[in-house]
Amino acid sequence: MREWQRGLRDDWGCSMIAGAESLPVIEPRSTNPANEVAKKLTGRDYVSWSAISTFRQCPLKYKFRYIDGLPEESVSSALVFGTGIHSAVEQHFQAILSGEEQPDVERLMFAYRSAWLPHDPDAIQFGSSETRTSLDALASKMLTAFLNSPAASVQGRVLGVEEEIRGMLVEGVPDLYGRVDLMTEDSDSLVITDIKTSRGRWSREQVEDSGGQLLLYSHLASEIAPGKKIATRFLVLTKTREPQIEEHVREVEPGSLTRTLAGVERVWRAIESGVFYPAPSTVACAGCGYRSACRAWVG
Amino acid sequence: MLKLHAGVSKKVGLPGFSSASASCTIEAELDGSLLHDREGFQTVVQRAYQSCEKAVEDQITRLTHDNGSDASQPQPTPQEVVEVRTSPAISGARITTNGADTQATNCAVFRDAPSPRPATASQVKAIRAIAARRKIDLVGLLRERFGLTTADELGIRQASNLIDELKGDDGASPCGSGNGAYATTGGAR
Repeated sequence: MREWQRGLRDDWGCSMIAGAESLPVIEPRSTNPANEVAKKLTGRDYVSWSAISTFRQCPLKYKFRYIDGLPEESVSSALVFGTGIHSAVEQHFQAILSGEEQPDVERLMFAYRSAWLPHDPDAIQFGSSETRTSLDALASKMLTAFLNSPAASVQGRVLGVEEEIRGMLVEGVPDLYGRVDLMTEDSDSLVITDIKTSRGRWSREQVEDSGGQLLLYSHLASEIAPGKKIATRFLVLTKTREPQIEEHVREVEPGSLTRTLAGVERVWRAIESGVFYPAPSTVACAGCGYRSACRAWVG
Repeated sequence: MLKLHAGVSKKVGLPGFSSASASCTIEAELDGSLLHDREGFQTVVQRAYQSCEKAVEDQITRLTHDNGSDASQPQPTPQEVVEVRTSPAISGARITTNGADTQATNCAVFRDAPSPRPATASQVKAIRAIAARRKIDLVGLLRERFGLTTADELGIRQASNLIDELKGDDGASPCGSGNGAYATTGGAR
C-alpha cells in the first residue's frame, strides 16, 4: 500500500495557542517490513533514488556514504552549483503557485547563492577552469535564459514544488523516498518534472538512460490524478557559453516500469547481502569525496 | 473577554486508497477571571480538548467500523453540533445543541475518495502566503468552508481550488465544472 509521508495526523496533543494555524504533524507509521531492514542497515527507513544510483556507480561509495556514514573529504563544485540552480528555479515556480510577483534574476541569484553557504569554501573541489566568480556569472546567464524561455511558464496548475514523495514499489524493498522538483497538471495530464544542469545538450539516449527516477516518481504520484495521463519531463539548463533551456517530455508507457523496478530490486538485494566493492572509473573517481577511504580499503 | 479556540483533527487510511477524517473545533468565551486562576484555566482548556478528542474518536470509529455506509448520514451524539460533508461538494446536515460552557462547536467529517492525497507542502505554503498577503483570516476561512483548522488538512484538489480562488482564477478547476482551459504564466522579465 502506498503511503504518503505527510498527511496522516494521529494526534495533535493540546495546542494552547488559540486560533493557531499550524499544528504538529505526526508521521505515519510504516507498514512495509523492508523499511525496518533498511533502518538497521542505514539508519533510514527508506531508500532514495540517489542511494540506488550511488550503488550502481560504485558499491563501495554507497557503503561509505549510507552504511558507514563517512563524511566526504570534498564536495564537487558541480554539485553545489546544481543545487543552487535548483533552488533558484524552484523559487520561481513557488512564486507562480503563490501568485506572487515573479522573482527577477537578482532574486533568483540570491536563492542560488544560498546553496553555497553551508559548505566550507576550502572543501569545494572546483574544475581546472572554474572559480566561484566564473560559476556565479554562468548561473546568472543560465537563470536569465530560463526566465526568457517558454519553460518558465506553466501550462495548467502547479501542484507541488520540491515535493516529498514516498511509497512502496516492490515487495521486499524499502519504500522509495524522493523529492519531485515540480509537479504540474493540465486538463488531461499530470507532469512530473526533474530539473537538471548539464555540460551540454541532452541526447535522446541521455533522456532514455535518465528516465528511471522519474518513472518511479510518476508511478508513486499516479494516484494524485486518477484517470489522467502521466508524463515525465526533464527541464535541462545547459552550462554552455550560451545557455540553452531544453524540455524533454515523455508520456509514461504502461509496462515501462518493469525493467526499472527489477533493477531497483536487484540493487537492494545486493545491498542487503553486503556486496560492496570498488568500481574504478577515470571519470567518477576524480571528483569522489572518498578517495582516501577507498585507497585504505582492503576488502 | 477571554476567548478559547480549541481543535482536534484525525485522519485515518482506509482500504482502497481512501481515507476518513474528522475534525472538531470549539470556540468558547471564558470568564476573564480565569486569567488569574491558572489551575481553573488549564482545567477548562483540558476539558475542551477532551470533548473534541472524544467527538473525533467517535466519528472516526463510526466511519471505520461502517466503511460502506453513507457518510452523509451522521449520528450525532447529544451535546454536539455535527456537520457532515462529503468532499468536495458540501451536502451535510447540521444539528445544533448549545453546551453549558461552549458557545459553538463544529465537527466535520470528510470522506476523501478515491484520492486520499493531502495538499502538497508547497500548496500549503502558497495558501498561507496568499492569505497573509491579502490579510485573509485563514483559520476562519478554513473553518467556515471546510470545517478544518489547518491548511495542511486539505486534500490536494481542495487546496488547488482554494489557491485558484484566492488568486482570483475562477473557473480554473480541472475537476469541477470549470472549462479546463487555463494557463498560469511565469514568463520573462
